[in-house]
Amino acid sequence: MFYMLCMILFIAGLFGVLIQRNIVRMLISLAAAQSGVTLFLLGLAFRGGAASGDAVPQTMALMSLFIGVCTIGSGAAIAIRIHHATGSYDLSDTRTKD
Amino acid sequence: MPVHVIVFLLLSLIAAIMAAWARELTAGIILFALSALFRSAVVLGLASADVAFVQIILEMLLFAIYICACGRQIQQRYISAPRSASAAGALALLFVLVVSGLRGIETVPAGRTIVAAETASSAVPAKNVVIKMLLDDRAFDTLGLMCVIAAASAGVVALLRRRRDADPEPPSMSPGIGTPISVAVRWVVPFALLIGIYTVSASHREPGGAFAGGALVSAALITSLAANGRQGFVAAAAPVLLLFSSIGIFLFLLVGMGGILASKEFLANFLATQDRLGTMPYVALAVFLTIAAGWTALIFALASFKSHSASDAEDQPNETRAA
Repeated sequence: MFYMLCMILFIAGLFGVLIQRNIVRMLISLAAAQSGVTLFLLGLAFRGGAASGDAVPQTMALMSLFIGVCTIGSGAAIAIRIHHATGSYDLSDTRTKD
Repeated sequence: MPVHVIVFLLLSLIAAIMAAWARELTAGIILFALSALFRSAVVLGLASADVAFVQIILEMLLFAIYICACGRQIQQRYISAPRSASAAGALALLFVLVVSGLRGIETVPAGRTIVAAETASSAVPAKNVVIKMLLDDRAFDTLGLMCVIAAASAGVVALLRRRRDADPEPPSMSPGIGTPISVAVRWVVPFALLIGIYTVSASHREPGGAFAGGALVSAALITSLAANGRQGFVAAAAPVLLLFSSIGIFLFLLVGMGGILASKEFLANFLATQDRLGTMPYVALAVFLTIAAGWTALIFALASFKSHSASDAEDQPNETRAA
């Protein structure tokens, strides 16, 4: 059940990245997908009901969290630039300011 | 898996889906922050206070990034973005202070030999197994991670750097900040800084380590910036922070190469003895510098660009469109 919910979270995020046209919403969806992967890894670390988990998946989850912030930060900078150039966060809007 | 973990995960999933499809962008960001809170509860439910400690700090940084990314739209429509960011930051830091009390939970059973950390050549003569893993078995991966953080920060600063013809001294980022928030930030930030530095200094014997400490110090600095910062200072500080981030990577490489020269193993703790930590404090300092300075520079660059470009918001009120 836990792993299925993680997969649903990942798929919902991936679906949002593909469907959304607003770049900030795309970033939110991307973060949701990353969270699904991170929780999946943590679930692997604590499978079997152990009170304490394996260190390898925990380490991978930590690295995933750190890389996720870098990804979203870079995406946010691109979003700001797009908004500065077009006046909108919508990627389908290709107008540029005069 | 415990039932409460499943319930919190389900709530997190619902909040994340609602965040992605919320009609208003502001509501989406707040819902995603709520989803992050539920995710932290999931991680705590998995008895991984160490990861939860880092995760809630990173979620706070993500919240600040979202606020910076669409702060102009939010500022025009609803509230002051720096004010909401500092309120969220203060709350997140309070949560972190609570979680930090739970860091004593063992993340790996005693006696479990996952890495050869007890040997004299280990980089981390410590009980913190996750940090051992990051700095022993995955030393090169950690170097790569630090490079990614520094490169992402440098990329954001370069992408959003101010032009030379910009205003020489833009106004404060947080005019008229609310008294309760200001008081909360004033009380919370020093504690957060203290716990961040303690977490780094005690990384050899407690969960947390330089990664968590660097993230916590960065979060505290960003919260302080949101409450009291001035845009001119912030714009000037970002490149200097990038320099500190690079110094961290250089120090990490230096210690790593020292290990290769001394014992043919990257990052080997060639100075460690029975009663000395050897190179461990230098490794912790390098990771701390890279992460704290890198992320602070990243958010500073995002925040300073927003404040600068907000100055022409009144001239084009209909330019920003809702999604």
